[in-house]
Amino acid sequence: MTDCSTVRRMIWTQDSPMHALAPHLDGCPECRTEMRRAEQMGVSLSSLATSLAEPPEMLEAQLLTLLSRSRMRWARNAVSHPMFWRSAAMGAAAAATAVGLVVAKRKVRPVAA
Amino acid sequence: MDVPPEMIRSAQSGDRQAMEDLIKGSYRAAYTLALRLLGNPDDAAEATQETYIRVVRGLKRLGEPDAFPTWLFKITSNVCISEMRRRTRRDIPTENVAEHEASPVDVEAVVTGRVAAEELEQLMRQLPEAYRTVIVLRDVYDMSGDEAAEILGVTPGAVKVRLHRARRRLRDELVARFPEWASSEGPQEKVIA
Repeated sequence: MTDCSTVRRMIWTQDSPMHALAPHLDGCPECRTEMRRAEQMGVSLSSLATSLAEPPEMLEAQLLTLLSRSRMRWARNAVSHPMFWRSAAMGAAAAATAVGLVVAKRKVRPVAA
Repeated sequence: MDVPPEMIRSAQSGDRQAMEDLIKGSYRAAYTLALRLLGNPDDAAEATQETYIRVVRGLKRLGEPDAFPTWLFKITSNVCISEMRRRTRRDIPTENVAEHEASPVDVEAVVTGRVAAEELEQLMRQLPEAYRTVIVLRDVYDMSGDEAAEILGVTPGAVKVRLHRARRRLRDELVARFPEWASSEGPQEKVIA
C-alpha cells in the first residue's frame, strides 16, 4: 500500500487517477482531509478567474488615449514612409493619365450632324 | 469579458468604435490578471497599457475571434513576466498591495472547505513571485503546462515542480490561518463564499 507522504504528493500534483489513490484514502482519514483540501483549493482558485479587480479610475481613458495615439503614429509613419509618396505619385500619375485619355476621347468623337 | 466575436472581427477590420468597445469590454480582466501577477496596482495599470499597445498592433493577426480571451491573457502574462524580470535585474523589491484588515471569518464555511475569494487573493499575494505566477496561470486561468512554461520561460517539467510546491505552500498558509480548513467531511458542493 502506498504511504501517506507519496499519496499527498500525488494529491497535490493532481496528475494521478483517483482509482490509484482510492485504496489508501479509504483507510486513511488524514489523507482524505488532504484530498478534500486539494479539491476545495482547486475549485476556489479556478472560481477567481471570473472575479474582477477594480482598476484605477483613469485607466480606461488612458487606454483609449493610447489607441488614438497609436492611430496617429500609424498615419504619421505611413505618410513619412517613402513608399507612401511613391504610391501617391503613381496614383496621381495614373489618375492624370485616365483623365487625359477621357478628355482626348471626347475630343476625337465625331460630332453628330 | 464582454467581447462578442463580431466585435473582434469589426475591430480587426479597422472599425474604430469596435476597437474602443473591445478595450472597454476586456481591460478589467487584463488588469486583474496583471494585478494578480505583479501584486501592485500601479505596475498592473502600466502593464495593462503595454498589453493594449500589443493588442492594437497584433489584433489583425489573431486568427480565431473566440481565442481572444486566451490571447489577451497570454499577452498580459508575457508583459508582466518581462516586467518582473526587469525588476529583478534592477533589484527593485516587489511592493505588494497593502494588506487588508482581516475580515470576519465564517467558521462553518471554512470547516467545510469554503474559502472566501478575498482571503485567497490575499494569501496568493503573499506567496513568493515564482509560486504566485505559476498558481495564477495554471490554477486560476487554467493555462496548460506548456502554455505556462512558454510564458515563464522554463520547461514544462519545471512548471510541474513549481506548481506542486506552490500548491503545498498555499495549502500550508491556509491551514496556518484556518487550522480547521476542510476538516469536516461535509457536503462537497459548498465550496466558496
